[in-house]
Amino acid sequence: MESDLGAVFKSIKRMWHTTTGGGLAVLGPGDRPVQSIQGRKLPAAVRRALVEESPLDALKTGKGYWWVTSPSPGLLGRVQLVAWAPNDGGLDHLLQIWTDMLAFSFGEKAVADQLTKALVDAWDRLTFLYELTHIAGQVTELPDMLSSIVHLLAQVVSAEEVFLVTGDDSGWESVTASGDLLPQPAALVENIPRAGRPVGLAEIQPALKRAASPLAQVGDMLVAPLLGEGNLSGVIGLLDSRQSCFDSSDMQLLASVAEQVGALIEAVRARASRLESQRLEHELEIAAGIQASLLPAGLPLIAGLELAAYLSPARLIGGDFYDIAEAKTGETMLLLADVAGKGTPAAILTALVHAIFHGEVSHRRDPATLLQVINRILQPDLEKAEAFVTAAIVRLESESIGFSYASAGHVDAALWRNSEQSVEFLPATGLPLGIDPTCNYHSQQVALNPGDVLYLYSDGVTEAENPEGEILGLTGLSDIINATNPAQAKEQIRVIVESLDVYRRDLPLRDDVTLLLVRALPERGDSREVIPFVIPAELTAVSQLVHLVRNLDQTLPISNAKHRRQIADDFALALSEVVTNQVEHAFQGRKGQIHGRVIVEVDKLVADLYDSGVPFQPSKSPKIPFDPDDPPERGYGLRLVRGLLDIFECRRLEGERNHWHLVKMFSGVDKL
Amino acid sequence: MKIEIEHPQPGRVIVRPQGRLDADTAQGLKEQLQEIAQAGPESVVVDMQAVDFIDSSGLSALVSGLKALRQHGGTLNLSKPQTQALTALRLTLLDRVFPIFPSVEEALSEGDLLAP
Repeated sequence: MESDLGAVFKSIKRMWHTTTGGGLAVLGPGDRPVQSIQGRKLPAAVRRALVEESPLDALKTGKGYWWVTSPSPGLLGRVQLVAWAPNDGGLDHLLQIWTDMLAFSFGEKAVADQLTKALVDAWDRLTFLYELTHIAGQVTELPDMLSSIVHLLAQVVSAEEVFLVTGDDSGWESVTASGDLLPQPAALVENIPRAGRPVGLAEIQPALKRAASPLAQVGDMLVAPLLGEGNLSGVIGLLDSRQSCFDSSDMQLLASVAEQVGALIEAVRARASRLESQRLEHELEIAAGIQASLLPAGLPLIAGLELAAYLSPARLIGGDFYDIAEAKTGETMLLLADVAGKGTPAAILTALVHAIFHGEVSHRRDPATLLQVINRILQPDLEKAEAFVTAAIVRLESESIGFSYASAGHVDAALWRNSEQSVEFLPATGLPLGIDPTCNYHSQQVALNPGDVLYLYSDGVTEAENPEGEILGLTGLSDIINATNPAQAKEQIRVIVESLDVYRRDLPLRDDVTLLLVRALPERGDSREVIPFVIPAELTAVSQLVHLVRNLDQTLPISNAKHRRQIADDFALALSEVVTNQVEHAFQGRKGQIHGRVIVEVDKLVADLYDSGVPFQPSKSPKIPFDPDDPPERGYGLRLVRGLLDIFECRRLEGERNHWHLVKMFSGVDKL
Repeated sequence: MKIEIEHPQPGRVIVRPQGRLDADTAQGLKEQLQEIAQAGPESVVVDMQAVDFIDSSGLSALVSGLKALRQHGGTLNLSKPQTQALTALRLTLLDRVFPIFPSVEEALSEGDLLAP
């Protein structure tokens, strides 16, 4: 017996030294802490601890060393275990578990004849923990790793079943050493205390009974939570049909294993999610590349027309794109499409639409026919991808000013009618592509007169959402278009995009924003300068607007610098009064935005403002004659506006909106 | 907005608002004038030289300050308004309410508080 113990102890000592570089010693009865134990020199830190402090503390940490003494030396007679190992930083966590367990295994077993078994167990378990660290390094797939762990654990514990339950709130799955399924694994996870320590059958049995789990009927059970950074990722446990067959050393082992496995699962999951996000990132790059490569390099120059386009650099690549091609007969064909879906699949469908459009455009000149052909060719792919595409195609006529328009379920195109100073919408002329292969599309002939503007855009524009959850809609777009005309196409796009930013406030862009404008140039002689703007309904923004208008003085067609300054200042003051009134009264503290434009004409300055606030109601109180000895504190705004402007009107528009019209004539000052 | 306050002699205060006097900034001037009024009878000169833009909110702040000062036996004169401010004062007839002077010195001497 004694010799067995000696042999096992020697093996353990050798292995301890090989794996940790440390040492192991037993202090016999009557031994005092000495400089060297059994001929081995003790590290100074360990020696000092043994001399100066109680060697009975379970675990200590010294500079560069872990050491441990058995927690209950009395159980081993007067024998004490001292184990130490260099703590080089990388191994400290493992060393803590090893030394802890070693000490426990030595100290726990009271009866001398069980000492051998305890030492063998300790040997097995040390080997097990050593192997565990290797599993983590070699196996990257979580299921393989979990299966290795339960089999390894089954070899070192005396239990009929070893199990592991992992998953998340959407479902829990078990892995067992026997290969059998564990009944109701969720019941275990839901009832395990999250304190991070293993629990025995007595503690968890009542909860399992309540959950009607068959596991409540087992002879004995030990189960420990798997925790990684505080999150419960599962449980690990032992089962046996014999009653009370697990002891505190099993519990200690399970605690160590659970700690290691919890950290492993966390690490593997983190690695998996990192790989997944890298894959997505890569996919987005590819999709962005495809999307960018499909956009036309430039816009064609067409007599009498002005074209401008915009595609948002949205973070999540969507399926928006626009395209321009020349028909066989010389007309320019425009396409704006929105493929449902995101990422690579959407990008590939986008490329397909692009390819078919370019292939077919040379021998088909009718937008509806083109849509019909694209729909028929794309049908199988769209069906497979369970996707659909909305698209609008426009043929710009070369002979007369006008265009032919067809839309496959695309959001209504907008049309600014210069003569009526109003916005029209062109609804879809058929179903989205990919819905019905036999769908008949039709084309619509639309005149485009000087000053008119056609707006093709994606639903990212009209579905822009503010923090209150309201979408911009066609009405919101009308307001913007009212304010941006008659500015140049490029300038209009700038203000539309800015308006969407102001509307969303702090919300990020959810969808692609794509715009394609065709503006019929106004007739010659119209050399008006138009400054469209959008500002949030805030007082600080009013100040910026005033600054902008005052700086217009240089552009006014008035030769006298002093008069120019005067006109610009007067107009800025009137505008400031109107916009301040809008912010303070029309919006009544609500968030919102004000769209507008300032037009510099040959003989006057004009401003139009649009807001969605409450109607303007000039004070109805009777006019009191102004008394210089008792001036009123308020009410100077309207007096200023009326005194400064030649025309000041406010009318109510459909959809709860106000339109303010301000005119300041240059008359009275000399003209250029 | 920035407002400088100077006490050239007892009972006299020069207030120098700078920049824009509009709905966004006028409240500061209004509170400053109220504070001075409550401190005792003062002759206040608001030096308008550095005010490059004033709107109805700015005018309201001046009127409110004037009333508060008068209530406490004080006065409020304006000096050196720029063209823009002068236009605003004229259109609202407030040029008949505020004594307006071409310089701070003249505004100060004119504003001598006569001992009751």
